Amino acid sequence: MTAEKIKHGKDPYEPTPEGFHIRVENTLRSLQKKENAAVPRIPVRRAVVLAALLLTLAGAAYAGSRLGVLDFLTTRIWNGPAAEDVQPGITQDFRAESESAVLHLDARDLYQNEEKFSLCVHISPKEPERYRLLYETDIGADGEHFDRIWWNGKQLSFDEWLPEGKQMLVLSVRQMTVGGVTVPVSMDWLPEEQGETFLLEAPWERARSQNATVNPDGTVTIRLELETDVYGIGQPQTSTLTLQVPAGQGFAKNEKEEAK
Amino acid sequence: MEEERFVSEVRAMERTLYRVARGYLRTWDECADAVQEALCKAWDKRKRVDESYFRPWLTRIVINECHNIGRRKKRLIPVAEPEREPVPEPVLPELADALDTLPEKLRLPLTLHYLEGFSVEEIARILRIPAGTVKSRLHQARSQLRVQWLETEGDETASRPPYGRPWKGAEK
Repeated sequence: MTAEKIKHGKDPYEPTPEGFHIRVENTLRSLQKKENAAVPRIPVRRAVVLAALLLTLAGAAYAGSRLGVLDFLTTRIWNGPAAEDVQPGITQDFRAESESAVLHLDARDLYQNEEKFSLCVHISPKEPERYRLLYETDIGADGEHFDRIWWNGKQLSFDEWLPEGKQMLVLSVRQMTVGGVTVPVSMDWLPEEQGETFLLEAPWERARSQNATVNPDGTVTIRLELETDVYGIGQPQTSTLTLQVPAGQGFAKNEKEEAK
Repeated sequence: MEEERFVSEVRAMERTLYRVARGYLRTWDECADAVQEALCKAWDKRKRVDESYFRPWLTRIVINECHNIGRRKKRLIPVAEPEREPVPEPVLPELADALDTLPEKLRLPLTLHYLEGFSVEEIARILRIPAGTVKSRLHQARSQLRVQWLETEGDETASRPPYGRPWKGAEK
């Protein structure tokens, strides 16, 4: 019976043709060869995801650079905390004071790393009832009027800014030296204490490269010269603040070389 | 699935692959085309397949390829009949003929179950139909084969169903 034969697994079909067998064997061989020769490739779906991820990262990096985030991360985080964020005592117990004819200088915080040092100096006129202090770059023109004052994000005229009965004492950096070598210095108000506290920043590089003098105790002398001028009158005065700070690695080399 | 395992599984299944393709296609080189195409597709996806499911999976791919070849043949306009290598004579020509006359939906479960040894559940997965449907098709296929066989033997009662009800599709 046909159904019975089928039930007992009797194969009614012809034997597998030799040609079919050869085709299957050839196919298997060629697939194996192809596999061995194939360069490992990233599957399409993964490649698309990877490309999208890279694109997103690139976009974020570009946006970050435009917004200044990368600059913040590289200069502020990798190079240490921002100078204005430095808290007292972060580097060392530090204090240096001096007085001149017109100013009282009080250096309170010092932060230094391999590249630069930042000095926080509280500057106040010795006669506060007579003078109000202003940094020179905060005086300028608005394109229409001369002698405008930039103060707390506002543009003010002298009359608006200067209390009655007072004179304006204009402050500028005359010079800063490290171990006798003049270094470029930038000076800014500290945001939280406008008008009183200044932040001075200077790179170590020039002092190192020009063999600044290192003191026998391993410190280096920083000398800050400030100039004041009574606005509209003149009377330039120089105030000086001198302090010793530990010399960095570059300075230590110079010292050894000198010893040799 | 590893390369060597794939190759050994395919070699072990060669006869099954031929018979499945043979159920759809008329010449052995068409069967070889279908199996070759299926092997290439299966090779690319072999790492994703569960090894225990390999046999039904590959069989399903071969069936799909047979359908593809069938569709392609319908679209072609023959300009000259190519010379085909004749299919060897079946071992049991009457049975082979009887199987060939069964509709595909009955023939395939029958051959997969009795000749290739697939379980009802495996056939259900291959053909994407419920297991109950596979069982009923197996029953129908057996019945039809029995009828055809008895008819060729000249037994008129064969076409008469039990309890006097007519067979579906049977000649009156």
